[in-house]
Amino acid sequence: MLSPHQLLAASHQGFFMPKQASSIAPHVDWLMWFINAVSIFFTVLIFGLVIYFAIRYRASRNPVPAPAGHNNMLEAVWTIIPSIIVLVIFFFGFRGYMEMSVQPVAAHQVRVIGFKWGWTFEYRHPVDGTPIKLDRLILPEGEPVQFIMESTDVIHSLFIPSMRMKKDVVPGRFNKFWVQPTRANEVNPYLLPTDEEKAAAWAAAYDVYCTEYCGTKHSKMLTKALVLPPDQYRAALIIEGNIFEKDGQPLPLEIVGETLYTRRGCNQCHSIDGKSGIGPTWKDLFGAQRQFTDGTSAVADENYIKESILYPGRKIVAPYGNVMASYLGQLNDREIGALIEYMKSVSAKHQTLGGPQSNAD
Amino acid sequence: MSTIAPDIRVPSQPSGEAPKHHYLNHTKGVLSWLLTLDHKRIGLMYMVAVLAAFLIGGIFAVLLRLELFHPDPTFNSDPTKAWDLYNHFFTLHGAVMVFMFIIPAVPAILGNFVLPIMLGAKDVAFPRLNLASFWVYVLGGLFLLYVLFGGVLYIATYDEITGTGIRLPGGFGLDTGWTFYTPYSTSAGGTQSGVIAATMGVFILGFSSILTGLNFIATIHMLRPKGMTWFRLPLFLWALYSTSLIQVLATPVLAITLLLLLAERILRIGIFDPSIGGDPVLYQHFFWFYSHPAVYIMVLPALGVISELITTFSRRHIFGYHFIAISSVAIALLGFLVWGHHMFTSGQSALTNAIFSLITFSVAIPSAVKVFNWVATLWGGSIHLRTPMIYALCFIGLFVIGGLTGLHLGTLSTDIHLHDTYFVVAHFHYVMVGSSLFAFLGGMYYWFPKMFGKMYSERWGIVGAIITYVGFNLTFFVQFIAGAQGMPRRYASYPDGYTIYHQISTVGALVVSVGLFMILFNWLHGLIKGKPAPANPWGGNTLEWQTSSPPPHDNFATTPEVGDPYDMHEWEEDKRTGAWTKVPGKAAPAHAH
Repeated sequence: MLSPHQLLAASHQGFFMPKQASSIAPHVDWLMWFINAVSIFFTVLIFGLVIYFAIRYRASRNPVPAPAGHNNMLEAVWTIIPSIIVLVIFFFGFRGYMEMSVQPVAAHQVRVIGFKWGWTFEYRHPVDGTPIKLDRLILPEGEPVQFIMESTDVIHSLFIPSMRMKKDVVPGRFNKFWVQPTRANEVNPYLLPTDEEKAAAWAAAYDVYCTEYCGTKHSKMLTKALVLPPDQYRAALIIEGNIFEKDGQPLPLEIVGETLYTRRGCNQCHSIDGKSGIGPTWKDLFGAQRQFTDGTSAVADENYIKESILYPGRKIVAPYGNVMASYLGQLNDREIGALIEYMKSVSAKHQTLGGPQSNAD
Repeated sequence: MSTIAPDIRVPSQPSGEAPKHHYLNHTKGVLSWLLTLDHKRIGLMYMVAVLAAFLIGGIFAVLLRLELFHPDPTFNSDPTKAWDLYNHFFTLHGAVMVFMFIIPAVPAILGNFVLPIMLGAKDVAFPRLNLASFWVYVLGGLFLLYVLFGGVLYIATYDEITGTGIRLPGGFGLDTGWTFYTPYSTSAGGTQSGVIAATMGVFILGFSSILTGLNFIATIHMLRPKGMTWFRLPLFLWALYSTSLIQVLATPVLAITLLLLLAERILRIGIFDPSIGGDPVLYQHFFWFYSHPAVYIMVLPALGVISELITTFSRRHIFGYHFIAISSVAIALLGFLVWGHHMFTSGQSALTNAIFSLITFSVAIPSAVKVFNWVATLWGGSIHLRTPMIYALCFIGLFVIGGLTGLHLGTLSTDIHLHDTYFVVAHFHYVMVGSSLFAFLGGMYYWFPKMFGKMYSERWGIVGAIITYVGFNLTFFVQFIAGAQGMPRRYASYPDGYTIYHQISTVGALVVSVGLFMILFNWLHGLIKGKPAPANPWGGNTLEWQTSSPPPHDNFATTPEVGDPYDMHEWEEDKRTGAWTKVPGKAAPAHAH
């Protein structure tokens, strides 16, 4: 069990607000503290006066009340001074908001797709411009990044507390915001050898939350934002850009499928250990007889799985609901093929002859 | 009824001599209550129904705080089920507390009981409409509770092996939050969703609110006795009048919005759902066009109660009467122009955001000046720290904190960070619960002797108030910090770093529960064993103190004399009995300064 202090450090919580990691954060925090100061001043003033008057003018000490009061000067002062204060606060809030709203002309671009319950972040490959889709954010330190966001189902909201940035992700329209990250994470997981070390480095990256209620797993629609120096950022994207290869060597399709399984959010609803989630488990799914809500049934083969990924509403397995969003245009044929191979690898009914496993026997 | 002989002792009813005939024993039998046209009895029936709703909403508040005591699931070993259950809990808590408790609490209970008496009238303008609005409330409330509770029951009894749970017919439950945001509310659950039934429940409750508002407006316009000019109206009535205006003007917008939601779900007309050509942000505009003014439905009557309590227990004329009266109406009208501040992150244009932010700050000024007026009333007063006054002073503290944290949220750049975090949760609980609940409880204690003709225990009244106050601050103050640290609202589970805030908050919620039960027991004890109350236990000069406790069926045996409602100098306390009697013609005290 970590101490509260360690937990705070782990999730980048600072004193009162999270540690600052964007160009806008110092402005926001300065204004927060200005409003805090105004609030504390008036709270102390009014609490103080109420307590002082309640004691000083208690009935036993002051049996005869003062006559009806009226003081134009006093009333004018206590109307005008708060008016000036709130106008000052409004002005600074407006100025900061304008900085948030007007983005620099040149910026990196990340397309954000929110869905129940996960995120897809689409980058352009730094070399060949092909799309790279990740479930976590990688951001360059000191360079502006624009987010162009859409949702495939209900409203979500992308919130990066350390960067003081939040915007709703609304179906049917593109919402945009931009940030300029200012503080790279201390450890770059792409430079680390083992999976454990990589996972720990990712855990230390900035938190990303969904902040618009979106159903059952709203509170698990979490991910991470990793800030790297620009050259390391570029290198990381190149590594992530090729999920079919590692160190120049092609990877088996089921390994590629496993990467897609987590990266594209399949794991949010489909387990691989047999537990029932929002959707059916993938364990032993391939080759099994599937019973649908309309009374029909079918054996889960390649065609059925492809159809269910692209048109999830066509065949619903009882007793699950029609929850899944379509991956039409989100996954290409090669990726769907990799996912199918991965499903085969977790299904006992399916055994491929001639693969590495059968050689080992 | 006019057949009752006027009781000439009434205006100066001494302590210990309760009137023989009063509204509580005027007629007997269950039906004489259920079908009564007497505003006082209707007020008491509202009290039973609204407090029952408060109990249910409160139980679910404690349940959801218990779920959040630890980031891991508490009420179900299957996380998916535990999260679903939590989502139903917070929806039920929010919907019941907003639509069935805070909105009707002060106007329907205290307003119904006090408004005609304060006005010097026999009843409200439309007694039958008043009874109808009560039964409409009960009907809508039962509808809503049935649907919401059905969902909780189903998940709680869901069995993994059989794949079903106990399903009440149509009781599909609701997990959309009280805001019903589209397209979640138009898509979630498919046919197995309580959205249609729940919106019908809220729709029906809205009618109860509209009918009460209409009735109060007509009563204040038509039934004022001779001499009761607008500026002799007690401030509580100004507050109720402003509230009624909002109820009548804003509630129909909610009704229309809910009907559009139903039309979309049932007929598949594209209004809010982008998959059939609608715009989800349009729904937010409609919803907040009602729901922001509704915040003032919740808090304006509370401000009115506090004005009464502060002046009575300071024994001093309220400071700045005209300003407080007019500011209630001003807040009600400005409240219609600020709904967009709920949508700063929704993608509406930067210019729209800037305009809404600026107008939002304009509401801060009349609210702040009201507080200064109350503090100025205390200054130089002769302060009696009775239970209602303790509530009023606690209220000022909570309203100040709730109001000032509104500055953080009205400011554009800081709201982007704080929107939809626990900072917002804390802020609106300070305003809607802290302020409205404390004013309601203070008002209940203040008019308790008038309602029942009995006194409550002063000592336990003060202890209960302080425990509730401490517990409330324990629960919600840490949520400001959790929110500033980024903790999002409506989360069934959370990253470990927020655990400490949630645990403090849950402990606070349990302390609040203890305080609230002490208050309830104090009332029940007073009701059964309380000492008889004098006609005027506090020395107030508003008209309800010039009739017996409890009042006769027709409120006044003789037409009361109308004067300045806050000129209390003619009332003198009998220290032995605690009763105040009027000494007509007593000279005003000499200037003390």
